[in-house]
Amino acid sequence: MNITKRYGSKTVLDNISLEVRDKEFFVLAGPPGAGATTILRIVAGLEVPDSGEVYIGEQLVNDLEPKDRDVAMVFENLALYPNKTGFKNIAFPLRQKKVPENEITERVNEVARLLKIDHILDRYPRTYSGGELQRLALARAMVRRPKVYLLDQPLANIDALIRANMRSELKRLVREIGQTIIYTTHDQLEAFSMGERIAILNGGMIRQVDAPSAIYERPKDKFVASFMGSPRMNFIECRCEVKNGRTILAQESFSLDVTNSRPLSTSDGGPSDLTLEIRPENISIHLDNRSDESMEATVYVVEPMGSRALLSAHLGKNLVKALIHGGSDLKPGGKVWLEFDKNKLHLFDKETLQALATRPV
Amino acid sequence: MTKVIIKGLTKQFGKLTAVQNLDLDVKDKEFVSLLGPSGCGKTTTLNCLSGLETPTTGDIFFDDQRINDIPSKDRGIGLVFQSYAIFTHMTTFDNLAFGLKIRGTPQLEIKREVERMAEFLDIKEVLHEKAGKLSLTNMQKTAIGRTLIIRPKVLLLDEPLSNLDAESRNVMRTELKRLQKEVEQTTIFVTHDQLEALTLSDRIAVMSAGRLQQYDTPETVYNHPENKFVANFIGSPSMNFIDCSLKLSDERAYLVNERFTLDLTSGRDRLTEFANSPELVLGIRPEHLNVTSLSDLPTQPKGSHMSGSVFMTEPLGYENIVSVQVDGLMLKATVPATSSFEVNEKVSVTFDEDHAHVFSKNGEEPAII
Repeated sequence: MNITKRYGSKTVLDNISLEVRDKEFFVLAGPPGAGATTILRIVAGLEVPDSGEVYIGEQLVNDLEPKDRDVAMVFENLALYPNKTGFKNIAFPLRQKKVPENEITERVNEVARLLKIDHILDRYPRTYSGGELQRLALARAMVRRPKVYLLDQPLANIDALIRANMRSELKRLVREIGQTIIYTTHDQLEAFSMGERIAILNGGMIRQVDAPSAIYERPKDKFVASFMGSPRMNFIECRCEVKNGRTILAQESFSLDVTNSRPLSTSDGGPSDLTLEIRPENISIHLDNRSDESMEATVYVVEPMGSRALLSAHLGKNLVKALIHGGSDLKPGGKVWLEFDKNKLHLFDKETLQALATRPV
Repeated sequence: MTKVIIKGLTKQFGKLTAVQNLDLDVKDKEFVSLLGPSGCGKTTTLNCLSGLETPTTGDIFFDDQRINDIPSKDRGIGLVFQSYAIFTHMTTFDNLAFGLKIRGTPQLEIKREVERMAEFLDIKEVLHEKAGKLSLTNMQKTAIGRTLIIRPKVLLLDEPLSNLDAESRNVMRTELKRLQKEVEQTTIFVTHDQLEALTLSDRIAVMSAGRLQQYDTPETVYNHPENKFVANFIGSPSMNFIDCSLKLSDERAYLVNERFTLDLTSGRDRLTEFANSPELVLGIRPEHLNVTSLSDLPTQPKGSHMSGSVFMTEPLGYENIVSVQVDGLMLKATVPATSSFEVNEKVSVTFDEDHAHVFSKNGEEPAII
């Protein structure tokens, strides 16, 4: 199945093209207002694009009514009927289609069993837990056996403690459904931990479409780098010198030879300003100056997080965050030495914010 | 110099007891979090401190002064809410200056104090902008600044980070932590977010159903939870709980279930009193579970091991969460980001016995080990 959409709607979505593969779990992620939900509503047929085309499989669906598109949407607020039992909620779309009663019973029971809510079908939604409500809404979508499922921020309204559990359950469920799924979220963690592929959106434009690990390890631009990952990526401005085949990153507070991990092409010429990016988990710390590669920094704040702690330290003018173990011996104002994992740092053009290509090592 | 003492505080709304017999002492300059799920009584406690609510019974002292009967405005408190209580039509400067103006502070001194506060909060650049136009973090900084500037005896913060988006919340959390270290202001902070409480507090008061469950430093609350409720509420992903039975012999003590036997002889003294109600719960944090693919093991492992199959993996970037189904039980383990497991892969789960916790089944009863 191919879904291709091209629009030229200037305000919300700016001429985007996307292809979601058959039976793929595809996540649209971005900050509020990025356009993820609008894309979903256009696929569902709830919004009409100003220009562009939407295909489901080989079929152009622009002029099809939502009910004829063979898609099912699960909304953020679930939109269940409070005055109908679980059974009647699930049966509703089938009754509308005038499916014979004995087939309805069979199909409702089948999805309810799969979603493990078959024991509470005679109860009303208000007696369901958050997770059960979620599954009820999914069951109502599944019972129609659509080609495409559209899930609009299904975990957004759920308590944090339950959400962490729901994430793995929903991911597993979606795998068992084995259909094409398009899922929107503002939560980078949800996108990262659940999606097979992710489209990162900002301001109505697609910034990167890739597998989660590729987005995390090789972000295309600074927006993607800062959106994905919590605690957030560090951005450190520095100069780059390519000299005698060596690539050196330098700033008042450090000088780092990255020739063996991130050599820039010599054709780039002399020194240039760039942004070095490194994730907090790729910085290690020492209490003494133990190698040429360590950089002296001043502790700003230590935030214990249970199994780890988040250190904020000033490296020159930059406030750098590092995810560390321990840390109770660090005091604000004290000295600490940072060491970057040179295989994990990224170089971005300071002006264009685009990732810089490096020569293979 | 203000310490806060709460003695036997109870607050009832009709038949509902929101806070039950709460004792809490907050030292001078201490940052204490009231942490718990909605309905645990944390906000009611804060409201009793601020004077928005009157305790049904119990006493509240600021230093040696009982404040129950002192009107809110005379208690010397500073309050910051979830919604930014700032005047959006006024500039940042006027917002910061407001409290000093109504106290009749001389103009020159107001200017000096406001500039000092703006410098401190890093909002100097936006001092002359309308507060309504500020970014969310700067609005919240302004709200905190206009409260701090009047030098309250006690600063009360009611979920001040809840309205911020995820990234601003991280930034503001770090700033609040720095503020706390530098101002040395007695602060009581209400939150339902365990991470905020862990990162910010000198001590955390964990509450549930109107009762205090544990009151200790973040490290102790995390590493030595006093009961199952606290163990479950603090830490993400949550602690794993496994039902077990206690087997006592003359000299030894074991925790057993179908899958493993755990030698707890070193804790035998504490366990003997449970001889008559031997159904207990073993608790292990996700970072203390080790998951190994069975295909990587030459033979079936011996000792405290459970075999199961991978239910799902969730990459978090800096590490992965693996959910493993062991019969009817779901265990969550955090593993290095570099490890990879397939769904349905057969795995062995072992755990670090030094980090095992033992609880009774009732969530509020004290931890045994």
